[in-house]
Amino acid sequence: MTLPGYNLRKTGPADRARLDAWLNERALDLALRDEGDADPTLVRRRSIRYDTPETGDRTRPGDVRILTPVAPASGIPGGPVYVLLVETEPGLRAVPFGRYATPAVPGEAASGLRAPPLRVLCFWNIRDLAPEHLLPGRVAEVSPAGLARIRAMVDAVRRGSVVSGRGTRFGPPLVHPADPRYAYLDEERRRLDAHVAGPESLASPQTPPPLRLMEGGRTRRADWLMAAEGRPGYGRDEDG
Amino acid sequence: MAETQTLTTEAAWRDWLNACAADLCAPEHGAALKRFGAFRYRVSLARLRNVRPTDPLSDAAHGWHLLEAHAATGRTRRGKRYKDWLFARADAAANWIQAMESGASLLLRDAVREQVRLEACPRFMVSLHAPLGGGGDAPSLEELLPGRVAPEDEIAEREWRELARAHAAEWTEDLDRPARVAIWARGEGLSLNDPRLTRVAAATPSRLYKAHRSAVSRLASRVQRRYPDESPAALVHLVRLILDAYHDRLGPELFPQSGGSGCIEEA
Repeated sequence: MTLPGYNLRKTGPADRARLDAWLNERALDLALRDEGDADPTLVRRRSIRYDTPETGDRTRPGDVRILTPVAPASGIPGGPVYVLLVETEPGLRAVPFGRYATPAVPGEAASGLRAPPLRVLCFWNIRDLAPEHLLPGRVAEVSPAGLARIRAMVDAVRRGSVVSGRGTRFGPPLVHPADPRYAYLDEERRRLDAHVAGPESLASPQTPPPLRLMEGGRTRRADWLMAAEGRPGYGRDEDG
Repeated sequence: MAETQTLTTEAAWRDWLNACAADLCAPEHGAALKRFGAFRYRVSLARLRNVRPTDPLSDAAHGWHLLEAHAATGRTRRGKRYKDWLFARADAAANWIQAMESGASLLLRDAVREQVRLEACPRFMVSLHAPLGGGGDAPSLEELLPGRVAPEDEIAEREWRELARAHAAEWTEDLDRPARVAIWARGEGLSLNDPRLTRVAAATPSRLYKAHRSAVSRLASRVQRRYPDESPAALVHLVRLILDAYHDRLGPELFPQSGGSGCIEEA
């Protein structure tokens, strides 16, 4: 004898409180938009070349670096982009840090670092970079143990399997197709695109960020995020 | 834009780059940077009409300090590489000083956002049903994050309850009178120390507690044996529903003359 089907989603008051905190932070950010943003013509699309080998600026896994600034573009929030290098051989692979203090979606997790620009890791937006995309000099370093844990999360994300970690704070699930977090995800993806795949792209042709998901119920395929995958439609059976 | 229309000078920024902090710059340079920070800080705060820190800081030096504290990732030079980003951005621009000020404004905007987030009073209670963002069409928090059981699970929930009622009918006979009274009383939200219950059950409060614990443990074991492959969450859900079904059955049985809700009258 078997029990009836069930779908116990792992959402509750804590997830709602976390989402509410993120929404408040997002509202503040939107209210401050355009404040101090530069005229798009202000910064020319000109790359700054750093002679990295001669200055001994070598990249190492675990380095936190800043991406070379690019021209501001409409609809893309400005500010420095911090990334954590998780691989340096054969190419650079980096996980960007988020702009907010609270993880927005299951593909984001609290880093445990205290510095405001380094509090949230966006696994869903992982990118392959070229050395020229990085400003010289590391901002901070992640310990080997911490890096190993982050790499495990990256691997899980790339396999599309469940990402979990004891004591790790992930963002709340994405369920509703009109969730305002989709706009945030679009922004963040375009922000990284602007740095990595602009007209003066220095990297190899980009592939869309991999990613996606988290927990699934017993009877339903994972229904959490998937940022770069567009929005699910109402009433569509994702299980096919 | 001419450099005279900006609040700062390139010399002041380069002094700041070398001196580490505005307080260590030449007085006129430090004052210009702080003036810039205070101006941008006030402009940013003015955009937040409804949400302000409980104690807005008007000190001219504070805006600049906020920028330096928020953007840094450490106390050493390594932690201040955001300066490299500012100067790289300005070096690539047609108008150096304007690009520098706009870049610093972006950093200060994030710092103000963080300060307001931390200092503004957090919302104590949030309606799950209110549209977010004020618009009538906006989804509510409850819609964005449904509860533990999705609406489409109503049919499954009905099946759960039918299954629980069947098990309750099957296993009620195994309960002695103290266990029946204790389970019914718990369903009513009554304390097992109530002297009226001890009279109805003809047992002491301690006997009622033991009977209740024993009955629940036995029920959990039975459910686990019956459905060995199910998850703990599903088994807990079923046990709770069976206890509810017990309660529904035991009321009329224990107090037939009061229609099942007359413990107080009966006692």
